[in-house]
Amino acid sequence: MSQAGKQRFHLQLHNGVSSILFILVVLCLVSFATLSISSANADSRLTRKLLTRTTSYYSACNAAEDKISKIDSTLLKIYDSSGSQSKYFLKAGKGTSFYISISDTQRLNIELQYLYPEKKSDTFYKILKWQVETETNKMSYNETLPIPD
Amino acid sequence: MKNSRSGLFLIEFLIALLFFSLACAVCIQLFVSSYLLSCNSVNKNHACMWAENVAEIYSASGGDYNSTLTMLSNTEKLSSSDLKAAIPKNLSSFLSSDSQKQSKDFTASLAKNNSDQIFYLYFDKNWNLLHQSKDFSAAYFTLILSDQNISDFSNADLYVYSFRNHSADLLYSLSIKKYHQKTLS
Repeated sequence: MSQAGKQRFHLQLHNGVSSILFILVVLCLVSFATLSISSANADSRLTRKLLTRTTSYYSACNAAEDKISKIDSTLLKIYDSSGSQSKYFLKAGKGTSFYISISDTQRLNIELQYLYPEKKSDTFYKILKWQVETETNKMSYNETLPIPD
Repeated sequence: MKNSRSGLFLIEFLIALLFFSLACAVCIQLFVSSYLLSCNSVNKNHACMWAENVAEIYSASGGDYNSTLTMLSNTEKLSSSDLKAAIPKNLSSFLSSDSQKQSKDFTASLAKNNSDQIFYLYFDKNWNLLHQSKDFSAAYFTLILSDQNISDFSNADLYVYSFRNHSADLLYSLSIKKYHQKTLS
């Protein structure tokens, strides 16, 4: 039998090898767990923002409907008190526009055109605009890039 | 000499294993909580999207309950009988056992309203719309629209509930108001 065949392979496990291995595995686990929880938290924050934004938008719409109802009642009163179309428009004006705030940077812009009802089932106004606007003047953009020296 | 080295290695291995198990326990908790948080976010996103869809249909139909039903039946290919199918018994018990304030408000509003002014949409666990009333008992989520007419306004309250762990959780709720224009009489 040759000399090489007599040699046996011995796995040498020195003290500290297992600790290093476990530390590496634990570090990997902790990193992935931290990444997953931070990602889930970011998703949750985004969802909360979406829900708040949607609720704010519909609250603004509801407030706008309330305001329109008051305008409509006023127009009816003006119609009853004025005898002619010219007097009606003199008192009421041609139309109105108003804003309802949705958030710090967004608002709902509503524009109404007043109408003079001539026959039955005619209405007192027409909605010309129902639009969400972003107030860009309130926004400050960060136009710098964090380039290290 | 050899025995003492093996013993030392074994002790070190056991201590490392102990710390590893502790770290694993903490990490598994983190993984589970992040999974649950993600699921909750996904469900709330879907709930918000469906509530918005129905709210827009309601607004587009001028706050008219019957037009909303017709429009929903056409777009989602639902029969009006399926839309008016009340919450199945096994799910309604979840709602009544719910201690949340919103649920109490909802049950109160249900009692106030005529049952004709309420409709339901049912979804499976993947947010697919269920079309047949025979499948509704297996629903995971439900959207409820409760409509009321107060003077010149149509008011709709939308609730999206999830049925899990023998309780109903309110995922999202929305109130919509639609003003009926005055006309010359």
